[in-house]
Amino acid sequence: MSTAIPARRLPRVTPGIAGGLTGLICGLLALGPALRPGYLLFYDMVFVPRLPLSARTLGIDGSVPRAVPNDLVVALASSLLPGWLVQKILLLAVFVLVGSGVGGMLRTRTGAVAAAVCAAWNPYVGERLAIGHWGFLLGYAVLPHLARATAAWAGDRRGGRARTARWTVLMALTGSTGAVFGLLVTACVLLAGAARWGRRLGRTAVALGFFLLANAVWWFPFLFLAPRESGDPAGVSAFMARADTPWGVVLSVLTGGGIWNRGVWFAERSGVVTSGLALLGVVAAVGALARSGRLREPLVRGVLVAGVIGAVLAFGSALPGGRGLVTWIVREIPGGGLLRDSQKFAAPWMLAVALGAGMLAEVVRRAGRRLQAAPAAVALAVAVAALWPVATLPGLAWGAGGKWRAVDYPPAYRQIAEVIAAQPQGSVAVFPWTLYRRYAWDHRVVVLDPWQRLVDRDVLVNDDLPLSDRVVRGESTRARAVGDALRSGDPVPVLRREGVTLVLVQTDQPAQPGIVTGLPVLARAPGLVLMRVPGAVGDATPAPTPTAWTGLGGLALAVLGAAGLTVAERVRTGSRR
Amino acid sequence: MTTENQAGKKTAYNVGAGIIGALLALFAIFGLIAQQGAITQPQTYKAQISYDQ
Repeated sequence: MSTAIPARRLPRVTPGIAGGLTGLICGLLALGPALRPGYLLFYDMVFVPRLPLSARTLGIDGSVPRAVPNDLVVALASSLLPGWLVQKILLLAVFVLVGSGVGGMLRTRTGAVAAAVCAAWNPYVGERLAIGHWGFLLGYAVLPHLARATAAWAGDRRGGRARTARWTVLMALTGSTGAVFGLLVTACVLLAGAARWGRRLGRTAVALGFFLLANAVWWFPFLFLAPRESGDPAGVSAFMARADTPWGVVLSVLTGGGIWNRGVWFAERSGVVTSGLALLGVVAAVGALARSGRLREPLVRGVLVAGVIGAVLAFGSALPGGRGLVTWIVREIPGGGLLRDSQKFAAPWMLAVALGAGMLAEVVRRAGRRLQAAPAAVALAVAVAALWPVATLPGLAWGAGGKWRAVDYPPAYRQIAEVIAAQPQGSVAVFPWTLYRRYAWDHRVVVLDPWQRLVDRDVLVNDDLPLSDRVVRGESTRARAVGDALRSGDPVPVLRREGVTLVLVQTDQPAQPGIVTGLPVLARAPGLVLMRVPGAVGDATPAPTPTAWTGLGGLALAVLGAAGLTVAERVRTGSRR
Repeated sequence: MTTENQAGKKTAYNVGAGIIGALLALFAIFGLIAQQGAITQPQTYKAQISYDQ
């Protein structure tokens, strides 16, 4: 007598899962050797072994909250895992999240795979990764999930409101840029809904209110705690989109490129043919989206409208009249500085292109089957429709051709960090007086000074942004005072006044434009000299006031709100059963 | 006539897929070579480090 073995049902591979797996493969291929143990340190990509949970990471220290709350997330995660592992997980999460999110918007696995390839492998992802803007990329990756959740809410589907709240909170955790992408897409999807206009507007107002609550963690310190100085308008010209293809700024941005920093451009995009093929792919994808018949859906219509607005914002400052308008916004409107690095707003556009790329692959597959073409030809045609983003950007593969290399901090860094930790309270000023470094142990690539993250105390650095042809002024009045004193010859009295008790000089860096010498040496290690400022006492930075916690309180309330809505939805679903 | 038209489209699809697939692969290889050629050696020592280097 034989015993029947019950067949085990395999989980169905939904388009979302297919997209997520595709994103994972893209991530593994794109990062390649960069996934080895160690830190990826280039441009603004700075991770440290353990980011302290400090007033700065919490956004309550009164400085400009540039990395709030994404540094808070890293600080919490790196209290459980080594910093390099947190970095790798976050970078891979970009690929998996964007793949699963955009894949879930498609109806077939073929479409999902093609959409995920396009969303995870494009110049936007490549250039932003190369410049180290991982927070922007996480925002981009959360975007399709937020769009789908909002569409569920707009369509009165069960759980839609709670899902929207959850993804809004997650989006807020990626930082200010991602949050702005999210607000744009949420508003467009809600307004594209089928409900009465009054209801659509009401829901948009609710979403805006919840957005403000969840994002108070960065906008509150920015508006009420940080120095009340508008951004340097010189940054508008410096950071506006540029043509990284021979097709001009607008078309470069529409293919996902056009970041201002030519140091992170991909060489193949400078060729007419490869960039022309990418342009052709984008035109075909948008054409497939427009002719898909799915534009009636709030999700698709909303994503397309948000994409067009994002693209116009991205290249707008490079158009006649655009620069003047953006300069005025940056100078006159609080928070207008968010518009300076305008190309980042191409994120929703790339989401729309990816959606179209998925639909294009579906059209090609359907056409092949209808014509009863050879199966190999259908497979090849679908592969072409799905893989054009990879073929037109092969330079992203394997850590951008081996450029992204994981390194370890030298033991001297840990040694000096321990000495600093053992000293009485006070700020540390880091010299030479520039924001970016080039270390021999990091293959001499340009990287943001890591000391603000390496030690758990206030670290004063020059926040002016040096470019090849200009310097974009920073916002820190304390840093400006030190810079002025350095130029006048004796910075020590100013350091004392600013509560700087320790001076750290990185001796392996170019000595210009400013360095401090002649102070009593506290510790030496290869490449580093730590000195004491005689007569300097305490911490000039006042302890955070209760008001300073308002922003974090907003985020906490939003987390509770999202959790409450989730529980309420579950209870309602349970009681219906 | 319709069947002939259909057969023509089918041939065009089969041939087109082959040609476009081969061309795309070729361009990808060229692109890869271009990117590898553009990977520069560490730059020379400069007193001023710029964000856009």
